[in-house]
Amino acid sequence: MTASDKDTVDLDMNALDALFEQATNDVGAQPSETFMARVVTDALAQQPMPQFAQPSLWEQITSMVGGWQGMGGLVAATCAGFWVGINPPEGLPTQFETFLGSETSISLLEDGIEDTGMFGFGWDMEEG
Amino acid sequence: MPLDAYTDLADDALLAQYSQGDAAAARALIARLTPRVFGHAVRVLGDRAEAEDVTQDAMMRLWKVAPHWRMGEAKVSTWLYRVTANLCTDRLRRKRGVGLDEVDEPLDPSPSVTDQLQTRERMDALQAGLQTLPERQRQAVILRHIEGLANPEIAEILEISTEAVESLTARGKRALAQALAPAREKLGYEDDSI
Repeated sequence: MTASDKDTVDLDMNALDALFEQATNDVGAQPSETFMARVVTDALAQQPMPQFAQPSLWEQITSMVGGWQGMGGLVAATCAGFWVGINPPEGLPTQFETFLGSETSISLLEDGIEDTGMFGFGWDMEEG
Repeated sequence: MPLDAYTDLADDALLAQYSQGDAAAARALIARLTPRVFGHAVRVLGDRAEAEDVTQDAMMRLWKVAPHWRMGEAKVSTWLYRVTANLCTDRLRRKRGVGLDEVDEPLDPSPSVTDQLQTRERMDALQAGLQTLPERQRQAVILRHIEGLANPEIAEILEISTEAVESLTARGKRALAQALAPAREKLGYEDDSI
């Protein structure tokens, strides 16, 4: 390379740096508005739906009985029932009494047969 | 969230917001990245329609990868530049297979553009000069001298060493200066003052 060739290249290097600077700010290399809108459309079409956290099992149960208020009422009712069960108030009939009636008595023997306490023994004798 | 708030967010944070259904985050990211990607593609390919296709494809890949993006691991812009660079390379390879007659003529810095404004003429001349460079040199020169990226980032984009980037940009710049030397007078660079 001769000295004059080198001078030419050096000069062009400076010009080239100026060209690069102009190119960096060149609006001709900018995308059009229409194209930008197309990219936005693509982005929104590909966008995942907003993710909502899956409620836990406990949250599902509490929401089923009406949230914390409902759950509080349910717990209070359960405790009260349990307490009445183990320590019923005076005059409150037991469940068995309510079912059968407190004044009812039953006899497992036919009318006229006296329960002597030997009834089973008599059967044993006949079979023997 | 007000639009101004998005300007302070990093690219990966915007991408995470996009994945959670934030449309404004998508718009902010597009406004920030699309012009850069498009600018690179149009300079490498020398064709706006093709650059639009490549940019659209690259951005589409970004939206698809968004839900799986790991914050802080890679720079979104670097990743996007790499995808764009590869898509441009694929296009140029396919073009080479088409045959010279079917390829658009590169912009000519000589008489056909003399009636245009000087700035436009210079940009066209630069584009024509860039088209004379081998594809990798062209990408490296554009990323370094027009996009203004640092050599390590260019190395990551082109998947080569930093030394290779330095060599590519130096050779590319020399080749470009030589390619444009005959057009100095027409470009208004005849005297030393620029």
